[in-house]
Amino acid sequence: MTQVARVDRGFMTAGIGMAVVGAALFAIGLGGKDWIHSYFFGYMFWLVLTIGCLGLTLLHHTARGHWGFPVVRIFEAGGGPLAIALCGLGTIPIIMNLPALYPWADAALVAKDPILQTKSFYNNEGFWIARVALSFVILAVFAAVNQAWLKKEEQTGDDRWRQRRVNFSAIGLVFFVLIVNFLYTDLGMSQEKHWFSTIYGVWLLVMGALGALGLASAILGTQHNKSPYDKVVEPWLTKDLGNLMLAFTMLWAYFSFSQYLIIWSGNLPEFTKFFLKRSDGMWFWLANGLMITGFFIPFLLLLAPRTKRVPQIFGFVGGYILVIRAIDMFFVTVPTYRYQLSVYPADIGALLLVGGVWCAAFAFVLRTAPLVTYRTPELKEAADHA
Amino acid sequence: MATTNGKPHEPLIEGNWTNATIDAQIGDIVLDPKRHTEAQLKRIPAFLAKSLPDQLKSPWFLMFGIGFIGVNILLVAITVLVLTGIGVWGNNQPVGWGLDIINFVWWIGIGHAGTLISAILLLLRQQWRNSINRFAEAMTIFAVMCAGMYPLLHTGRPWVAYWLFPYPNVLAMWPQFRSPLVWDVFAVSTYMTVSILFWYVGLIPDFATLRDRARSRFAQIAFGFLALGWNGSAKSWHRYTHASIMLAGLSTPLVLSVHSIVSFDFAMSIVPGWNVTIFPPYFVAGAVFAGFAMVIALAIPLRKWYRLDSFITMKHFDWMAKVMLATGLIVAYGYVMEVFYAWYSGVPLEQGLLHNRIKITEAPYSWSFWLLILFNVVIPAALWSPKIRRNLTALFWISMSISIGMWFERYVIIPVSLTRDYLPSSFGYYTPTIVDYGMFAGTIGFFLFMMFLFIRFLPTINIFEMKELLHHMQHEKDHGEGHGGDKTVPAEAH
Amino acid sequence: MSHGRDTAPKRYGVVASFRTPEELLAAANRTREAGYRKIDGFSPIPVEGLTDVLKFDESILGWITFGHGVLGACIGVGLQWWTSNFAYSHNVGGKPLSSWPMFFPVTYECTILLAAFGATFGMIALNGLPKPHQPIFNAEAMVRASQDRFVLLVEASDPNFDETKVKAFMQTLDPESVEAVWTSEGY
Repeated sequence: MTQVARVDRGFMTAGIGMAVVGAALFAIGLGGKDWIHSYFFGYMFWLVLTIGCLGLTLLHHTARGHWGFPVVRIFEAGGGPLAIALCGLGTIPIIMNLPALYPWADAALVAKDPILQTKSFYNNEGFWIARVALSFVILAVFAAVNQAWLKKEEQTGDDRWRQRRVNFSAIGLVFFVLIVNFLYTDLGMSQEKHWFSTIYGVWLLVMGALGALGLASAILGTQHNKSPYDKVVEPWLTKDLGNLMLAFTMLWAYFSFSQYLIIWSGNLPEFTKFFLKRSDGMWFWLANGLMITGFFIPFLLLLAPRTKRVPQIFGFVGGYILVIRAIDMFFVTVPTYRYQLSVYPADIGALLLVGGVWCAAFAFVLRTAPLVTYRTPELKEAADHA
Repeated sequence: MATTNGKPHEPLIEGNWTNATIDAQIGDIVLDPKRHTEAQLKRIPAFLAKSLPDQLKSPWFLMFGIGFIGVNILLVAITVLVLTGIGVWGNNQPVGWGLDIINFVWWIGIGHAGTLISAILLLLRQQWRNSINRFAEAMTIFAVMCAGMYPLLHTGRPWVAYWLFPYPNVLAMWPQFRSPLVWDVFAVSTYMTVSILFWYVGLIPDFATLRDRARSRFAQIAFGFLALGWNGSAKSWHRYTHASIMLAGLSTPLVLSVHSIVSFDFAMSIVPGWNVTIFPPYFVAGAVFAGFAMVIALAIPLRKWYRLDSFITMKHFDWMAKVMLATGLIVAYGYVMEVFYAWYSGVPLEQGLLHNRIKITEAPYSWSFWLLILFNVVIPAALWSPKIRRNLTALFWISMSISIGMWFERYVIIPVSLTRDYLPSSFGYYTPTIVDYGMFAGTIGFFLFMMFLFIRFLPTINIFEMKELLHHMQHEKDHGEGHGGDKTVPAEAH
Repeated sequence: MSHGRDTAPKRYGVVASFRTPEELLAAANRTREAGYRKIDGFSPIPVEGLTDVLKFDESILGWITFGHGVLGACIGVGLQWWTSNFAYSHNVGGKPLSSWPMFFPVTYECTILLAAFGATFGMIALNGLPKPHQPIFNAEAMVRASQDRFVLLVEASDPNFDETKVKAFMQTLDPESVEAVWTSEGY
């Protein structure tokens, strides 16, 4: 008798633990004015992961690859309506502290800066909040519709639901990318006074997708011998998911490097500032470290066939990638306000606190449906091929 | 054998085929000249139809003839250029890069679909690639040849173009490795070399087949020479498949890097509209978009003239159309982002660029931007419809629209950005000359000329991979009917 | 011949021809079970599982390719670093002499170029090509081994080789034809 994987229980326990420890650590830093920066870092990591999960759900429905079925539940729980609604609620502390995060919300700064003035009808509190809120509503609707239709399809076994889901996701993906791009621009990019980068939205999107794949791989790798994963974790699946992770790792490196190279080479004042902050002092070593730990190590690990065959190693690599994503997010968000590399307890606290809530919600959603969608015809086909 | 009668999964090879008939159908396009005159042009004047021999009325001859005329135009254009200097082109201050660089990028982009079809789809184990990869790879090589001519001639003194390579010389000079133009030299020459290697490696077993099928002594010797003595032993195949997979694994990142480096030619500079971080992926997507359009535009007539309907099926067109749709959306995303961030920046120069592109009444070149949107975004949107994706006439014209649209994309990016630089005193205009257009028409002719020579002398479809596919399909069918796995059913029995 | 080699034709082996890859695979299996070791299969398409039967598992090509790739990377980095710092150092756009981010593209291309050379020429060299004529081509069955027949060879150098016995054994495998192959003159 194989054990039953209780992923939801594990995540619930971990979530509560993380929330408690996180709240304690976060409380230490609450007094200073920096706490909102710490919060923003923690929030962004989980937001990007959530959106990565939703993106992979849509991609799975569009591309109809076999790799998706055993993990689509994880993506649905991680990028479902509940997670997105929570992310929407998570913007409340940000909205309450806009001037501490966004130069365009600081009236004194805007008064001195003609460039911020020309944008002020776009970047002002009312319009900004409206845009962010609208983005979250649309994303939540996408996620809800997808989930509902997949459930209907499972219950009725009707192929029309499948077709609907595919059509919806294909068109949805187009709007998803646009919406997410504007959302990331508002939340992240507009913290820099003048800096902008056209690839920023996709860059963060890829980070999120990579993190989501890492999370799913870690779950599959650790639960591979428990039901129902024992029936689906086969070498073909870990190979496909591993190759997908490899592709996203390369994509991340490609976007990061080409963005850096273009800005470094152009050396124009409004662009270079972003990387100037991030290559000052110890930040420089973090940047170089990320190149090695974020690209070379996972790249070589995922290139080896053994990683993609042995579930334990596979799960470990997935977890490793997820951890690196957090450090990468630290590098992307925090240097905007912090000139020296230093990690405050509140940073870790915020990461754990938001993560605790996220994990609890994740566990809550996972419990509502079986971990693997059995009734879809594609999975049977995939199992036959294996 | 797989049949077409309403199966849920359409077969990738339609009809009844055996290894021998595949050899005959594909291999004899090369070995039997009569295959090229089977299809005859219909709409030609009656007096010509009577007086001309059959060979001259075939589509092959027509296309080859057009190509030949194009090659002559190219030769004239190059001669005028080399004898006079690049002043005969329309580019001058402030627009230093004109049609030559547009066409360079356009051709390189077209080439990428070939490598992508052969490499990425091989890695993804997509069997539908098998029937189109060979001529897509050929397309790559000829497109890169066309592309390479432009920067070579743009150097002004193409006879000393070898200075671009690092070698110890009496001038004691070395290439300037901080320039993206030098990266281009490395990228394009590597790309050309690796494409040829990949193509040749793919051809070796087919050369062996042709060697053994050839009747004329000359063909036997020629193909025997090219086959290198391939004997198809188990060990050879083992190393061969290993090498193919590795070449595919190397070519995939190579394609991405080549077009990224092409985009760096612009992005490394500080011209408004060029120093854009989304350029590398956006250029790569555009390249794939244009490349698949060209593959479709070539595959539709070839399939008809050489009766390859069984191998290049509607499923193939559907797939290629979907790839075009997806890459087209990425490109459209790029346009949106460029326009949005040009405005969002708040920088007057970037906003000027936006104005220069979209204000149809005020900016002299805005028509090119709107044509680009029409050809690249509006018309290809028809591909959302599954019916259009399987309508070959529509597909052909959409592909043409994309080819034109991608040309306009480079037109908008390259000369139009250069007409409005930082200083209003150095604003200018760009008008291509007859030599510019002659070069462009000439390279199209050269491309057709090489393509149809290839069709005449080399197998257009990968023979051994088609046999492998046939064997797989046979195998799956046996499984489907509940046979034991290793029951041996002779292929000819069907 | 001047180098005094024995140039008379010798027996090279015995070949049997089959119609499908499955038949070849089954025959190769039985031939190996019968104790023959120097066997090989010739086919128009790669036959899945045949190398397992022949106990042929060579992975050196991957290492050749990898080695060439590393060599290419070293050449790329070395060339750019040396030319920009020593052989031809000058200031371009205020960038440092060793502009590492800008050295990446050429390094990358050099890596891929050399790795591709390794894979292609490694494969050709390991297969002993180019060699337009080989003794095996003297077999009549080989004409169709590149088209639609699957040929099994037992080499004369096999310790258990006895022409009549091998021929008789091969007849039991239900082949289309069986023939002895001779080396050409001069081999």
